[in-house]
Amino acid sequence: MLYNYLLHHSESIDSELIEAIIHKFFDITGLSSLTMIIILIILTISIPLSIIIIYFTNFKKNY
Amino acid sequence: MIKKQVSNKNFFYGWLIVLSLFFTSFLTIGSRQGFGVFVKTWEDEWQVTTAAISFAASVGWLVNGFSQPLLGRLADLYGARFVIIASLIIMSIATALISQVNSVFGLLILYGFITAFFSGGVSPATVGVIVSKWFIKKRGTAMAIVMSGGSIGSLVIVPFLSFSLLEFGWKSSWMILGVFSLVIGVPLMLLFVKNKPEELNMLPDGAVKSNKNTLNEEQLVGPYFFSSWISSMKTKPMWDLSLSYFVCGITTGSISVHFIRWALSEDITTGTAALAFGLLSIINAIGVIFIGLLSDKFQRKNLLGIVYLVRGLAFASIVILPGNYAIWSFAIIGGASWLATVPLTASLTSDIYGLKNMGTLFGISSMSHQIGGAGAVILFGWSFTKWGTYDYAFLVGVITLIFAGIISLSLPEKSKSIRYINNKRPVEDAL
Repeated sequence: MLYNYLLHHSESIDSELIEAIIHKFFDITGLSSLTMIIILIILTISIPLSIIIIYFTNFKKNY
Repeated sequence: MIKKQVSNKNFFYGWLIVLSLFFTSFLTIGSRQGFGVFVKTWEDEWQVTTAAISFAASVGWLVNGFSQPLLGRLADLYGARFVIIASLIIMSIATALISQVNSVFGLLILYGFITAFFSGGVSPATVGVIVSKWFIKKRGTAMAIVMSGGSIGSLVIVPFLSFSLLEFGWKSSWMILGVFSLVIGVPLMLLFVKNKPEELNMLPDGAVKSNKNTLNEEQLVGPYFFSSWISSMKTKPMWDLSLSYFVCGITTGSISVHFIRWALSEDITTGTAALAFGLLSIINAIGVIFIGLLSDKFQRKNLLGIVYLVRGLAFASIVILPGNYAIWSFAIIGGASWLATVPLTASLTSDIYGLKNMGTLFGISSMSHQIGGAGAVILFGWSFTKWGTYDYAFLVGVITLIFAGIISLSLPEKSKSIRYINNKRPVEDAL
């Protein structure tokens, strides 16, 4: 029954685990999912934004 | 955009490339790991089993493994920048198209084959080629920062997808991710990433060109700097690196799949497992950068050996300690060693074999990593079904990790690495 052994076989996160993580998160913070989406988008965008800022503050003369 | 000589006394341009590649790892590994978020939703919507959906992911695991030496070879021949950007574009489009899928077959094609194959083009096998060309002295640190992008990406992108699933549904979540990658990730790569410092009239590590003692990687030739990658395969260090990386795959692959089932078998709640997993991820991100910094000071093979032995200790703690203690000790000890093997193995490959075939060679090691992971997932599952416990499987993990530790410690770094070939001095002394 090889197919059974392939159950959950992926490098992706376990679906039960992520459900538990999110549940725990709501318990601890009480924040809404929309608030969290906004926070995470800001966090994500801050990385390329920082790269662009670093470029213009350090290498602008050569641009 | 950047055609003139780009120089700044205080900030080396290579670090900008490291940050850009960090963001690429952040996006791609984060989105690959996010697949698990949608399994239950697809089960309900398409009326299929977990096994059917997981099959697409299983195929993806192996396709990703086999794609790495192929795309690594392309990176060696045509430049890693081209391979990374092309792969990122195709991955982004395929990620967005997952939003239109209505069956497991569609998922298999888009996730199992297309995104899995091209994520091999944004893997350490290709990214490591660029980092190694920009850095010699700080190669370990630079490589570690890029790799930590994947770890931090999973801490941000996976929760993002989970919240987005609750708020907008699964179709929009995949579309947002794909478009975000295409609109922000790709331009960032196009604008800032260059194959090698010579393109901007610079030298690795930001060294000053007028210095007569300054050498670049092409001028430093190690005893194993072969013109053909096949010749490298005939040497022992290449097999040692691939074998130890195979063990890395065995131990990380098995945990990523069997972690929750083991926790439940030990009467640990999913809530506790969630907190422990979060702690492991945070320690992992910090640990990889710390090891990267150390690897620029000490012999990398010693650190690699220690990392495997520490991970062996983490696996042993699962077997020896009672469940609730075991999960926390594993999160702390295992977390510190989880990702650290990647920058160390990649750096050692380029130190010993040079940059000409680095993509191919590290791609081969990465393929062995994925094969080890896939095999371990099946064997750990079989072991649990047969004996009703993971103890025997984890013991196998301990034994293989000790083996990986020993062969890593025995790597001939001082006689074969360019860091030490110049009168046995680290290469930084020659710069």
